[in-house]
Amino acid sequence: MKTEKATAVRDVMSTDVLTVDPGDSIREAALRMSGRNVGAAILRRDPGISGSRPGIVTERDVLRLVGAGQDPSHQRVADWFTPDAFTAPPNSSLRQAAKVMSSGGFRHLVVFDGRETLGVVSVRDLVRSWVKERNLPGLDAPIEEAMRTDVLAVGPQDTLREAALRMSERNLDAAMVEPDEARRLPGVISARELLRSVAAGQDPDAERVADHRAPAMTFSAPSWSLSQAAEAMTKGGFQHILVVDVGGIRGTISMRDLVLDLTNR
Amino acid sequence: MKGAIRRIAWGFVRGGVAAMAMTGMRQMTKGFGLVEQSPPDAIIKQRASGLLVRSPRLAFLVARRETALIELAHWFYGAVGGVGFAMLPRLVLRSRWVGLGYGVLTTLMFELGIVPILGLDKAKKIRPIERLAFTADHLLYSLILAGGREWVLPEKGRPRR
Repeated sequence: MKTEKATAVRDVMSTDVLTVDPGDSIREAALRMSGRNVGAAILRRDPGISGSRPGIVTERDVLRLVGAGQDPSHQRVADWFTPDAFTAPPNSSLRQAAKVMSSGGFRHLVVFDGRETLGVVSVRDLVRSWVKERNLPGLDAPIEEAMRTDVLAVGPQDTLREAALRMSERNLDAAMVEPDEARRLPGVISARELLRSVAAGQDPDAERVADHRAPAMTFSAPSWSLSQAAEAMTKGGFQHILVVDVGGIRGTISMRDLVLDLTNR
Repeated sequence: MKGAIRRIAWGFVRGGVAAMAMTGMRQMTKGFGLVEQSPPDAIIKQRASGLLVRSPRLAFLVARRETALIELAHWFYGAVGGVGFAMLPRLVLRSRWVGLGYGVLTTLMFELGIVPILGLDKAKKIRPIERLAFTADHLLYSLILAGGREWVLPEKGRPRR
């Protein structure tokens, strides 16, 4: 009889956790996150911050800050982080962790044993594990059952600030970049590209979306399978796929959408 | 030499046309729910993540023109199969069983070659009824190829009607 392997959060989490100080500037935090190619950092314990659970700052906070018209070099982590982050015990299942992430609408979960932070688990870790073990029902379902159809499109000549504002207004962490003469295919810009730009000290009011398209992305048809999308995202190291068919852009699917759909099945 | 080129060209054309007939048959079997996905369809839907990662441009094209490209690929395979048929020895072509034989051969090549090489059995479980439908497809293809095989035989070697 075939039994499902009970992979626990501790088996897939990253233990090499990036920490930042509440007094660091957002730009410093972005620089360190970008340098490690991660989308979140845990706050070092500070007597001034209450709560037993750790605080977390993510690339979405950076996106929010840029969208709000703030200067990342002059804003402190302490003003933008999420205190008392949602946590999961190390022995919780991936499905439990995924449900917490889906209900909260975030992509990182701090693994916490009640005393100290043991690691961070991200949607990417969950999807990678599911792809490897293929033990989750629903992976053969078509993308159209999980994709978002409310695609936010930004123009290649929009500034990063404008793109960030529109993404944060819609509570999205990525947008489709419309094609232009230089690039005939649509692209994607995500919170990760914003993070890199902030880390590089660039001015979001001067930088154009066209110069910050995600370096890796791809396309799928609505009828292709979720497992294929998950594999492509895992292999390609990206988190968003544009879904197209004969009529044009139909939607987007991200790792977060995948996790949301698969945990609700 | 000229005769061989003519046989190849006609084989290519007739193979393509026979594959088009298979397309019609596949539409019917899909419509009746006997077949869920055709083999090229299953490959693209389930097992093309490598293509998606390596070539976004190609992924875009395939995603947008999926139906047309799958059919074109299928017709191309059929055309190549038609060339194979045309190049069979004349002695074999004269046999009244050549159509059935070529159908069995293409089915075996599909089951023992294409299915494991492309990982079709991993992409989706092939039900017995689907295997039957695929076999019927290949037989139809071969019977159309062989149906008027005067095109590939010289006058004196044509089978008697």
